[in-house]
Amino acid sequence: MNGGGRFEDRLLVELRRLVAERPGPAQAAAARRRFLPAARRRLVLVAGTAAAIACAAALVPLLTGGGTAAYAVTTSDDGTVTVEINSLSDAAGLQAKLRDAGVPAVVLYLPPGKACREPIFTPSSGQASGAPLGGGVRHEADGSTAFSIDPAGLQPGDTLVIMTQDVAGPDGGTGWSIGVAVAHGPVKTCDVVDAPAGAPPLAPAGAQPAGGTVTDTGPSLHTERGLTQK
Amino acid sequence: MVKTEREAGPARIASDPDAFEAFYREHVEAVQRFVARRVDDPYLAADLTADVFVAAIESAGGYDASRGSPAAWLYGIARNTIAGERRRAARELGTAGRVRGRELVDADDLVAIHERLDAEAAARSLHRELRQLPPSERAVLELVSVDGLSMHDAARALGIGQVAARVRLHRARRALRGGAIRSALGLDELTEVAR
Repeated sequence: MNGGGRFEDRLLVELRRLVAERPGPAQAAAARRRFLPAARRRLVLVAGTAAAIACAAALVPLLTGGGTAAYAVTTSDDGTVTVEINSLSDAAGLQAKLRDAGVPAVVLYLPPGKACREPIFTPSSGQASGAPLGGGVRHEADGSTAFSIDPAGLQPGDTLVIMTQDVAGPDGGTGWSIGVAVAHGPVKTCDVVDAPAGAPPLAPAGAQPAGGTVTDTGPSLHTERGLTQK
Repeated sequence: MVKTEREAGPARIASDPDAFEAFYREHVEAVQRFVARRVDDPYLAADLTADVFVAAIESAGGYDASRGSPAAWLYGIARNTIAGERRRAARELGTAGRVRGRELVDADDLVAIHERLDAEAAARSLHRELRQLPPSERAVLELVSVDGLSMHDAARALGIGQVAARVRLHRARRALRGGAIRSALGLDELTEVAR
């Protein structure tokens, strides 16, 4: 139009570079993806991998209450404690049972669509963090969820955290799953909020240090409810 | 994956170089003319053009499509950028722009920029004369009559409601009634635009 394209083109190059170097949503997402493998060690979900979680979450056949006990906690000869969760009820009972078995625990069963304002705990760090939950979390054919934890692998101050969480479903909706993690230090009171839409399946609850504001080592909320799929 | 609407809007220009490029190509000429209507130094014009787009990138997150077009949003940023430059110049502060537009200007560009400055010389003199008006009224008059924005977009660029914009425009026109500026601005046509 006016022969002035050269300055505009050079300016475009500079500005494109500025945009590319900015920590925008794309890079934040990339950072999140990079974070996931480490997070998965600490926060093991029912399904195996993060990719599987996103797709399977809506399909996770949630636990059937039936006539069986809501949970079972057994200690094997080698000291490993195995937890089987059959229904999302009596969180306080499960928590007490785990403590009896030598596992400091916080159990949070939240209604669908709810989450705790994060972070509520700092994931246990270091190499030991994956060890107590080394066996992963199994989703059994009968609809129960089971995992084993080695109390000897817990560091002083570590707490087992069992909580329901919304996870992104394949169709943009959300599913519901059980997360298990080892927290280092106290677990904060759960401040129940609406689960953020589109939250990553494994929001790293301990991305920031918990700081010194922790006041409560137990959950303030035990939602006892039957398992009603949304 | 779920949210892919708003592709061409400013929302993504801060993070997606391709989205930025499309936005830039669509608006760079208008921004340069906007600047040329207000400053007469080619290097300063180049700096300010860069500054406007840098500011747009940095504030893209604040763009709200429900409140105006991308162009109106960008004009608002351009106004603030130039106002900031005037404050800076008044205090004789140094610039520390992220992208130094003047360093990208070569001899051929200077010719083009001068042409643009010449083309907008009349508008610049109008801008100078309009400074007799209160700033809030002048801003509306400038955007509507000199820059050619719609009332809606002018209001959006200034972050005010349309009613407030109309009131200010009315006052500005009344203050200029009978003056030489009035005919130069074509305020009689402006009356049509404002309705």
